[in-house]
Amino acid sequence: MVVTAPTVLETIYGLARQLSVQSTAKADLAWYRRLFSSPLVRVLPLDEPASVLAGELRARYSLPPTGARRDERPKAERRVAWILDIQIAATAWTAGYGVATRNRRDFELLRDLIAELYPQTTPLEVLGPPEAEQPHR
Amino acid sequence: MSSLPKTTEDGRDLPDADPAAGRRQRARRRDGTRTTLRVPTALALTARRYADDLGTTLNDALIRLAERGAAIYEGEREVEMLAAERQAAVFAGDAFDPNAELSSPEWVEWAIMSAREE
Repeated sequence: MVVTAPTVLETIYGLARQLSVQSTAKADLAWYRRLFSSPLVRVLPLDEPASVLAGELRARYSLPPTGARRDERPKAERRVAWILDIQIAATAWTAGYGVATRNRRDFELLRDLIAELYPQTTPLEVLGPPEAEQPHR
Repeated sequence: MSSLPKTTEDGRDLPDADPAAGRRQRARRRDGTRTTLRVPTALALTARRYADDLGTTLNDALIRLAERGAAIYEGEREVEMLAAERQAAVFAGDAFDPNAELSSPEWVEWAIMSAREE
């Protein structure tokens, strides 16, 4: 399995901040840390090509365009999530991979933004459940 | 055709086929070039176990292992080619003109720090 470094950051952060309020979070955290360090998982770094692309993408859209859909999240939360999504897409795409996600809509937008920037290249492949099942994150 | 070792590199006998594996199926016929290989001991042991699990011949097990390895290799090669194509595109516009006029240090600092303000 291949995951991006920003995905690891997101996972560890989400679990670590629950340590003081959720009794099972410590075990959850240990399980994911073991998974990420196991030979079954390859963690793609946010390296130079990925960080250049992520910067370009964020400069184009500092927030995800919402279009017609309702998004109840506060603007600050949407911004943080969008920056992580940008980093994940940039890391996966520049390393030659696609993404599997429950948030297909935002990653399809990122796929289109990357294609606008680099039209001669193979686009980001986005796999995930149909739109109706998608949560906001 | 592969030449499977009868002993390990330090002279110990390799195990024979697992008797509990029962009667072996006939391996499927393959087209292709016949060849002779020297198979490392560790791989021969794996091939023996795999052949026993599948109820097939050692040669067939070796080919199946090679086919699985080839599929992994082709996948990795495709990913490497995509990565090279994409990274080349990202860096294609990187030409630096040493004679170009640059912004002031203060403006550059403000522009960079704006990433934290939006």
